[in-house]
Amino acid sequence: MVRRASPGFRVVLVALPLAGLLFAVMANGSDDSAKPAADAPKAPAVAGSELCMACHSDVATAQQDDWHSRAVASRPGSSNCEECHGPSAAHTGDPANVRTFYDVKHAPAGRSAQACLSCHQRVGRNAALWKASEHAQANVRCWGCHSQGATPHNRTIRRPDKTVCYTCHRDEQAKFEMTSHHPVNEGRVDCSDCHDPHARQSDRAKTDICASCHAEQRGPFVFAHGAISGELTDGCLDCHQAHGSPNQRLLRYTGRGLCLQCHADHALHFLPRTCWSAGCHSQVHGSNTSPLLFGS
Amino acid sequence: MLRSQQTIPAALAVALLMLGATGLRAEEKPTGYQATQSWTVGIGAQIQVIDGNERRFDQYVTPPAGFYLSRLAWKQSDPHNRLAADLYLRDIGEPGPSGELWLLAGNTAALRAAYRRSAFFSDFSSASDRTRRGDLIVGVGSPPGPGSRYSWQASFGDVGVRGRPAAGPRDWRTRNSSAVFGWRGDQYAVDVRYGREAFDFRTGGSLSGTTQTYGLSLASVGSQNTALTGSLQRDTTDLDGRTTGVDGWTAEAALTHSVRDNLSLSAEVRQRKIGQTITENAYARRNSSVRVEANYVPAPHLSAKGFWQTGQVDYVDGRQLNTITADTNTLGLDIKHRPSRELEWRARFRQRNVGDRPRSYTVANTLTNSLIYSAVRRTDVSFSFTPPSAPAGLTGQWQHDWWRNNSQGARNTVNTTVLTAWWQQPGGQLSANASFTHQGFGQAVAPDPVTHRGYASRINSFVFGLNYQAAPDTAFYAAYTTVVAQGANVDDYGRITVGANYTTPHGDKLLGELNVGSFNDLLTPALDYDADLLRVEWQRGF
Repeated sequence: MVRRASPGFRVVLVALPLAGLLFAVMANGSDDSAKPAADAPKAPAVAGSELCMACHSDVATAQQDDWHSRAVASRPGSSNCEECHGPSAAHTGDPANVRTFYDVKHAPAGRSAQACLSCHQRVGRNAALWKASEHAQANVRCWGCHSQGATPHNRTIRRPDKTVCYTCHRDEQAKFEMTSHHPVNEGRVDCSDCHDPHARQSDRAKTDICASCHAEQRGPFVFAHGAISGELTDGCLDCHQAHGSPNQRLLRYTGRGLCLQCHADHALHFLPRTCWSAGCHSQVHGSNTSPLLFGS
Repeated sequence: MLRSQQTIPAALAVALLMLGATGLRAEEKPTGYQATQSWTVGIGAQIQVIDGNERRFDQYVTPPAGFYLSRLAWKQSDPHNRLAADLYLRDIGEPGPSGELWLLAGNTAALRAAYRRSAFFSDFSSASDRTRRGDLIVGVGSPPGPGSRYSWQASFGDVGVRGRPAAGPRDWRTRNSSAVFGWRGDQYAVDVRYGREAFDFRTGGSLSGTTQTYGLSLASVGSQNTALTGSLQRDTTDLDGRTTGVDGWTAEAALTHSVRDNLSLSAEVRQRKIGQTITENAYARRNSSVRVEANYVPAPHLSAKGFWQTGQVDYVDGRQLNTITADTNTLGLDIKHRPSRELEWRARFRQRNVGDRPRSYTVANTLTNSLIYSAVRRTDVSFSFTPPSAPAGLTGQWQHDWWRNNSQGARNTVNTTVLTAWWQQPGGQLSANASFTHQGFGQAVAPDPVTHRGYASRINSFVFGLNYQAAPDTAFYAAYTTVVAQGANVDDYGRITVGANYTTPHGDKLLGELNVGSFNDLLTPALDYDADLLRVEWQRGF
């Protein structure tokens, strides 16, 4: 039976949540339109990084070989240390007073990221979307990955590798030791090849992510295997376990057991041959010649 | 070798042009930095003894053998960052080399080029040769900086696989080019992007052609509490030897608002529509979804997240005579709590239900049962315990994945349990960690009536690691891994690794590592192997 939702239902389905959200925004106001009061305190003054280096010579030494520190310092108009830590004039006048600074180290991740996001504005496109990511909500700070927990003064890592991810995701490290696995431990694949650490995990992107490396399975095919399209299912993950599996090719089940997940009425079909390895339905991801995905 | 050498000089030329055009005119002020340049060279030697199925051992990568150039690194920068460079090459001349180059030109343009090649056995039969895959990515763009109105990025990627056996998947190659140009105002940012992919499957019956993608994105950037983003994308695919191709549109919009410090709401709508396709059986012509999500922190150290996503899919059936509209509803809940400084726990639940699931017709023209799962569920509970009195910790996770297809009578599960413990000696010389993982794949289908073997599997793995910093310049480490699979597959794998690092008074680094491992497949003994690897490496910096 064919049934199509009425156009009016679709409009309500789309408009209602957006209308509710917009109402919440308007009801609570926004910081956008606020203007500073006439008697607001003046912005704290910038002292200059040369004064910082006079006392914090150890940091100055450590920064010598750090490309990130050089990039921040050499940018036109940059105030170097104060770009991240905030204006320091009150501190240089009273060295015991460190509260004038923006507390990059101890602030919640969402706030401490503002120091980095002032330059790296394309991470998550803007600050509000980074805040919605799982890492931000788990209070993971930028330098937790990009400096492996140290400070970004002398060890800034542009693209953290699996060892950084493993410090928290130890369970995934064990899965990559399984019989069949993505070769992460062999150095052929990085965690960031599939996962975007700055954005919220997207359910709909599963097939696209796999196809970015496994282009030959993507299609388009004249006769597609519906399971891999992903609109109503999990796409590639219907059959494959992404991190590790006891079965070859990261399959969730072995032999005809894999196909019987969905094609349960074929349990007695052409015993004892398997579905694709016996040479029948070998074009399992899609075929350009056979509607039953037979091999050419 | 991939025919990609032309692209690297082209990308470098772009970067150097940017340097010449703007880098030298960059405002220069004293930075306090000095010019630096450093080299690092590594020479390695690896002895490998394989007894058994070498192809199974080299399933993912062919390691270096004999003497080889293990690494070559070069870094240079000047006080004003007119040109900063970072080059890193690994396993040069070996079956699996990799390298990365990064250039920063006058804070105006940044280039990143990465290359990785792999040689491995995707086919264990004695008649096959190694499959080789090469990945090259080159990206150039404007580096991040405050107050920049305009930004640009261009990238090129070349991926190819060759050496496949005659039967099975064929050799293939794809080349991607993309460009993004952005403008950022005080309130909004706009991106315009274009991408082109040429894919070539060379041999066999797969299709070759090109895909072009055009995109427009808009985002609000003026507020830290509200974000509005939208994007529109069109993609068209032309196929060699065919008069028709594939084209589609995708539109998305998302709104996120922080109502208070402890409450944020977001809503997202998305629609993808295919205007033309070459598929002659079932496919999704339209896919629309709406998602609303709330993140709430009701009390210190307690947070909750909930979302609801609903969607509709216009599914064209196998004979393309009917369109069935299927509904999906997904509900998710995530609670995290830290009742004390030592203990934190988290529970996550997500379930997707599919209504009006499409059915199709067999070749005998009879209506089939639906192949789509009626419901999919994931339940995940985890905890972390870190006693304040000792530098140690314990984490655990239990995850249950469940799929149900009512019309097929199929119920399938994957249960995962992970337990990890770590300990560090006060003073930091000795540290240890251990991790146990169990994964069980359950299936409701009866065992194979001929072989009487079930299709379900379970796998247990145990990983133990030990690190000992004997002196500031000397460290030792050891690791033990064992993996046992049972059920449809019966095999076991074990590996012991011991190693040491030493830094000489002159700054040279010496590394030594011994790996002893074995793999035993009780159902297919021809895949068994014992592998012993001894690797030593010397590194010197200049």
